Amino acid sequence: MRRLNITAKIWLSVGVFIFGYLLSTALSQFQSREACASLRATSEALFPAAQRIQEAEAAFQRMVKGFGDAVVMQDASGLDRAAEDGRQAVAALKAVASISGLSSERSAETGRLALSLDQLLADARRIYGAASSGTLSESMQDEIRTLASRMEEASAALAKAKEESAADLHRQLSALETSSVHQSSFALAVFAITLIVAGAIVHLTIKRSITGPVVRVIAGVQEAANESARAAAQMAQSGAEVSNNAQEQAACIEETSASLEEISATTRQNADRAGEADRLMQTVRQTVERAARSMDDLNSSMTLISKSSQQVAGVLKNIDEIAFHTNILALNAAVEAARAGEAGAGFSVVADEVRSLAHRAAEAARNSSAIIDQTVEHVSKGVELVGQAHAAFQQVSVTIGNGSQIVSQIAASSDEQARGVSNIGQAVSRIEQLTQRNVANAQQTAEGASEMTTQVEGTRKYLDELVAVVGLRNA
Amino acid sequence: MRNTQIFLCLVLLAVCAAVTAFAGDIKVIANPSVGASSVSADEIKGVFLATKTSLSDGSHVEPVLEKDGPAHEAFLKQFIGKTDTALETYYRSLVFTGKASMPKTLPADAEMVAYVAKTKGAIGYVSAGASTAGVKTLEVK
Repeated sequence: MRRLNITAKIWLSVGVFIFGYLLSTALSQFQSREACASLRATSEALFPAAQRIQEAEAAFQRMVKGFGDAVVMQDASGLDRAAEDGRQAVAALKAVASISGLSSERSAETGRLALSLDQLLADARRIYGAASSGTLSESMQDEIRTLASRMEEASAALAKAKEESAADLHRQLSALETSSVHQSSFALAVFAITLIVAGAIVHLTIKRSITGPVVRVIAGVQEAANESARAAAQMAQSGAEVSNNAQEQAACIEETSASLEEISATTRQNADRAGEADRLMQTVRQTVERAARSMDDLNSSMTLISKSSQQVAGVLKNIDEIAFHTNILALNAAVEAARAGEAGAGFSVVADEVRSLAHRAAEAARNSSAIIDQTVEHVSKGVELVGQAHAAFQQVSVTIGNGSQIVSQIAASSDEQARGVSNIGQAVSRIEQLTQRNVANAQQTAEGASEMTTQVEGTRKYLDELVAVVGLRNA
Repeated sequence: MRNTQIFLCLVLLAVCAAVTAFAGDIKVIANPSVGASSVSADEIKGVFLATKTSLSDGSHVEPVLEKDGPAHEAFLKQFIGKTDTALETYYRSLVFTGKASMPKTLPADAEMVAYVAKTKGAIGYVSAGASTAGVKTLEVK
């Protein structure tokens, strides 16, 4: 049943209907044949029997009347005719008794009645024959009275037989009628049951195969619609949330972008400053180098000064020797001036002056020599210091070289950083675009969700309509 | 039409007068065992046509007829309304159907009186002038 499709099921229902119709028709045919047989029995046995008994009764009544007339009117001429009527009655009864289709009981009863009627007829013929001619003696009256009661009995028996045969006929006919009614009722009942069964099958089919699935589909779709509505609401909510978040995100990103711009600017500035520092370092190195070279020059100058000083010391020794010699010469001159007496007195003053000058020259030469020695000492110390300074400058130059290298590295790093920051800025601006698009998408999603809600409402309306069409509210 | 009605009325009056005139010609007698002292014409007709076997007071009666004669004729004419032949046919039909027996028939007033006097419940009639010794004369209402 479940495997058949709807068309097959409907055809099955119609088939049941047709089968029931054919069954009830066949039953009616069968029963109408039975009714025909019964009707034939009635027309061949019961009806003629009833008719014959009626004839017999009529003949008997004619006989009674004939005898009565003969007795009352004292007219014997009617006796034969009355006896003839009586014989007819007996013959009719005998004919009834010989009808084959009657029940044996009825036949036997009719036979007995015929016999008693025959007997009665013989007695009546005799007694009424006597009574119809002349006065009625007491004994004759008794006999007539007995006969009258017998006649009465016979008449009653005949009437009873007539009634019974009529009742038989009536019973048969009413049985026929009843069976006909039963038959039609039965056929009607079969038809009705078939109709009900077919109707039930159709109903069940429709309920199971059409209404049930439709109801299930409706329930499923309704549930899906509810789910969709819920999902749409959620979607709208989350869309709005996403939109808000995205807007917030966009704001954050803008802030980030601004910060990045600042960082980029700072980094670029750093790079620039690093470059500047590098350049300054280069300048410093050059200066230092120049200073180093100056120190070298200074060193050589100092050496030269040392040499000059030594030369000056030599010169001073010469001067000292000269002073010494001069002193000696002065002494000699003083001595010669003293010998020369007064002529030589002027000379002796000059010679003293020359000697003091020689002393002073020697002293100055000794002072200068000390100074020169000090100077040489200082110069050699200065040379040493200059060497130290040169070494320091060398170290400074190396350090500056290192620093310059580091500053160059810093500048390169800053450049790289600036590029990186610029890349980050590009990425952030792209992220910003994406975020804007996300915001737009989220808004679209929210709109789509609300549209979906509307659609779901429409679907629900259609579903309600479908439910009304199917005629089930409990779904 | 009007004349015919008047004529019929006159005939009716004449008949009534005749009946009244005959009433005096017979008297109805009964055995003294009969309790009633008077009897109506309808009762008499019923008793003599065997449709009644008792009077209004409950006493059982049996009709007795005279064979012929003026009293019989007068009785038939006054109470029964049938001829003698018709009455016999009537009784024979009753006998034939077993409803009654032929009534006792007596030749004259004297036998009638004697029979009624000795038969319990007997009711009969005699000429107005006949002796009614031993019987009871019933007044006809």
